Amino acid sequence: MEALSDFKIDVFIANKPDIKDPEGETILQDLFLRNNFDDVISVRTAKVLQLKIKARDINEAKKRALLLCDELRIYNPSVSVCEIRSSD
Amino acid sequence: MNVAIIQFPGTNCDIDTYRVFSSLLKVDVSFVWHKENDLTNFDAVVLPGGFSYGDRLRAGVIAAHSPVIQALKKFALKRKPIIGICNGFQILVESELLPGALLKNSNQKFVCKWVTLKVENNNNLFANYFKSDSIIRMPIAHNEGRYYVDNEKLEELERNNQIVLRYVDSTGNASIQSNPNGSISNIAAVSNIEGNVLGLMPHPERASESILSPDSSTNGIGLFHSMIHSLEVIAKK
Repeated sequence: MEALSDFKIDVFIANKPDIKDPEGETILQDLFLRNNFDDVISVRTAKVLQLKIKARDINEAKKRALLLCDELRIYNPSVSVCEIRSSD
Repeated sequence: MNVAIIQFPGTNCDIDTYRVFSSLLKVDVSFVWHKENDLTNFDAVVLPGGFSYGDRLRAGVIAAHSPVIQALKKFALKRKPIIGICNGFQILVESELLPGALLKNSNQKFVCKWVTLKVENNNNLFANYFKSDSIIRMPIAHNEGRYYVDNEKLEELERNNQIVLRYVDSTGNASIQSNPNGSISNIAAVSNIEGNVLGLMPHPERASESILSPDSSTNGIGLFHSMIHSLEVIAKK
């Protein structure tokens, strides 16, 4: 039997582009632009959950993470999207 | 008639809501802990406000996985009335008993004030005490009250008369200024398509006694009156 290893997975939850993000707008206006960092065009806030998952390989770990996020409604699909990334 | 008030860790409007039913409306009311999984002995359920699980991850989402929510879904299928107030509304949305999402207020602040509301639809279990287009007052107190659905869903809510209350100014106009949290289309309360599940951000239990109100109004109790009246009508049939 193949041994299980620990894999670090980032669950990246962001609101869909058409959802207004007042926190991101404030960071843009009152932090970047007010301090003359005019090359910053936009800021969107998001949430990251860092999971450690036991799996046979990284692909299995990512698949499992997505399944659990859907099952437990870790993100609200009517407003957010969820992306699974490997952080190893 | 027996009304259940569900308590989650972090619920804090349970006792106020209990008082309205027991002392003002004189109906039987019981607290039900979130680990219970049977609601068959009840005629109506209220999910009161608060901060269930400290709003961890997202307001209402962890409570939505409690055992009592499975029982609540069965209860909803029987067309029995369910009201979710503030955090209760957030839990109903996260349980998918109501559509959409409740996002952080657009001004990024916790908003605590009395607001003016318009009864958009009184043809349901919760607002039949009011005349349609009535202007009423209730307080709000929340950080995540910006109701959102996409345009397609919004049209569906309009078409099915699921929008029950809107934030308005004193003349009944749903203006940008009268919208305290950036909710789409100034929505303050929605029902499910069957009309037996209602979610609202304003607190009717805090607007049920004149001593608690800045203008002596008691509009909040009208929602509970409507629900009890509806149950009495159903019971007589």
